[in-house]
Amino acid sequence: MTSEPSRATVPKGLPGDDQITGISVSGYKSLDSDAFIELKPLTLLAGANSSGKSSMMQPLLMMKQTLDASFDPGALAISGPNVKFTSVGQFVPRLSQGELSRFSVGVTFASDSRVMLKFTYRRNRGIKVDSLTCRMSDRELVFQSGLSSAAVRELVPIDVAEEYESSLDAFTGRLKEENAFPEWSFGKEWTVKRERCFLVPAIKPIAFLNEQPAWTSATPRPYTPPIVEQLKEKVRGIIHLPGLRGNPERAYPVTGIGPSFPGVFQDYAASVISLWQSEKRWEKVKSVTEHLAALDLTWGVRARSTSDTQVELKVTRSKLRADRNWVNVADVGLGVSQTLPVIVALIAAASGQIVFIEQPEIHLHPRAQFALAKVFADAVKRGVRIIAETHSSTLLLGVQTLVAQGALSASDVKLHWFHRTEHGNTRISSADLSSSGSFGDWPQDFADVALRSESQYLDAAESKLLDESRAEDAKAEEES
Amino acid sequence: MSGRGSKDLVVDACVAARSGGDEAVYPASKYCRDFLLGLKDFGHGMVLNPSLKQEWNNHQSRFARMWRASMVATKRVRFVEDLLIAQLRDKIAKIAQKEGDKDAMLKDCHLIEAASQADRSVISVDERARTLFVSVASELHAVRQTLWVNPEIPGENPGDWLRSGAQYETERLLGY
Repeated sequence: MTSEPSRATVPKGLPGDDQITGISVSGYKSLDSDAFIELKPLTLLAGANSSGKSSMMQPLLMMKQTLDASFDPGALAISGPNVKFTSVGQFVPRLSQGELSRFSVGVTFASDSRVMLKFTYRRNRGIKVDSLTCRMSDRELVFQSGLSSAAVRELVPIDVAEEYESSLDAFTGRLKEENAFPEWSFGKEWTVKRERCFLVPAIKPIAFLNEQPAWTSATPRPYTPPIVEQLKEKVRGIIHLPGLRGNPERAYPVTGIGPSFPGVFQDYAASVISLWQSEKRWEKVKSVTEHLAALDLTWGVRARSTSDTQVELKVTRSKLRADRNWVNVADVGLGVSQTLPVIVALIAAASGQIVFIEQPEIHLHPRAQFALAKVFADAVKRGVRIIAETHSSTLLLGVQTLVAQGALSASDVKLHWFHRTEHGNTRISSADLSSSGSFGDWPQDFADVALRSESQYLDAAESKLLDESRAEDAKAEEES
Repeated sequence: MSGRGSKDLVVDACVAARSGGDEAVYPASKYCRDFLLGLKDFGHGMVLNPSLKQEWNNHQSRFARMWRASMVATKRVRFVEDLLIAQLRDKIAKIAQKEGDKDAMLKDCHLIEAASQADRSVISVDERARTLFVSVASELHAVRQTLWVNPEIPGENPGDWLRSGAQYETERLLGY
């Protein structure tokens, strides 16, 4: 008997429709000062190698792997499936003993609300969450350790504070009624508690003996403000497809499928297809097939459970239905195995969910790179929010073309160009597309590279042809 | 659209054709390519109307197509409507010495007409057309006031001209 992947819940959309519309990072790798990128339904990050594109997303990915971890990894899991570091010094400035380093990550929502997390790092003492600031239209809340109980209470909505306090009073009241600790008197204290990578207010009981604190709860009851809850869900919901999506496998492990996908998505693609097949959601499977066909990669895809723990992926080699030759995905070109997870992720993603794709174009023929823009546009129409880090001018041209054709709204696209100063610091130039798909003075250079390469080749080739022609003429003259 | 201190130039499709492909002859082709790259590098724009666009579509080399796409993407192409100056065409028809001269000038008259809608500058490698226009310039104001640069002639210093802002230099006018 074989098993189908289990599904915890149907991905119907993440809570809250307040989308993340901006990310800011400071003090992280080459992002020295407040680096900010605006996010639109389709956000393209481009720029030279090591210009800081990945660094812009890494803090959020570290938060994701911190939240996804099955144990509490501390303030920030620096090594996990999404981002791997072996020491904090690899992403913050090198420090001498005792010196403090700070870095921060901020997220802006469509409602203009903002959450800013500041982290500190001291060598050999690890990372700490220094503060969490929630900026709403009418107020700003700053959670940090060291606040008095009264100050923390001020940061909690009054009805919530009263509800938490009365619940705690009921608990300590029962203890008194039961005369469990007759010599103790009870009080309560508001404090700031770390919840993975966040700081939130929490309440805890305190028992006093002879007016001296004698006992307190080690697990204060936290209150997570809605905006922080929203950020948590958005970050956990990020579907991440890294630039290296692994070698194609003969069989993939069976995974659980939920609205969020902990770790990297390529591990889920086979199970997602298998689930769609078992639930007869053929429109999803058909959509995957159509997109793969549009990229000229394959004309059929199916998943088959080979054991309780493994699923294999098969694709067709022929366009002709009558001549379908199903082969394992490991037996066809890398383009299929690298692109299939991208397409499945975009179809599996719920409206409002962020799909972060590093190098979506890897192993793709330029024609397929161009066609990939249409796959993106279709996902954007369903509300999926894509952040793609790319070196492909062809993909960009595909996006520009769809905008000029009216198949993708110019207002749904944002371009960010990363470059480094001579001191090695990242600078970001951002641009919008016009309705004709042009982007003005955005300093993208990869189209220029193609143009200049073409020019250099023509200079060399034509010069060579001229020399050869002259040599032939000279030879003919000599012979005559 | 080109920015401040830059000019919108009418680039004849013959430049696009000779910048690569079958019609390319080295080193003239290199001069054309260098000119197009310089035009972009120094922040100038190009003017296109439906007729010019059609000519470019018919004759452009692969290099010119890539260059044009990058110009469109960076908003450096100014699209204008076809403008037919009947008075100019009538006069050309009247004063042309030979039928062939008349046909040649009328064929390229759209360059002068397009230039009159922008910065009055034409980039072309068509020396026959230039010679003919120069011969009638004294009688035709629109022709007289048009600046003409041939990117295939290094002596005209086309690169320097672009670098220094593609100025409206009197000695480059057809009526000079």
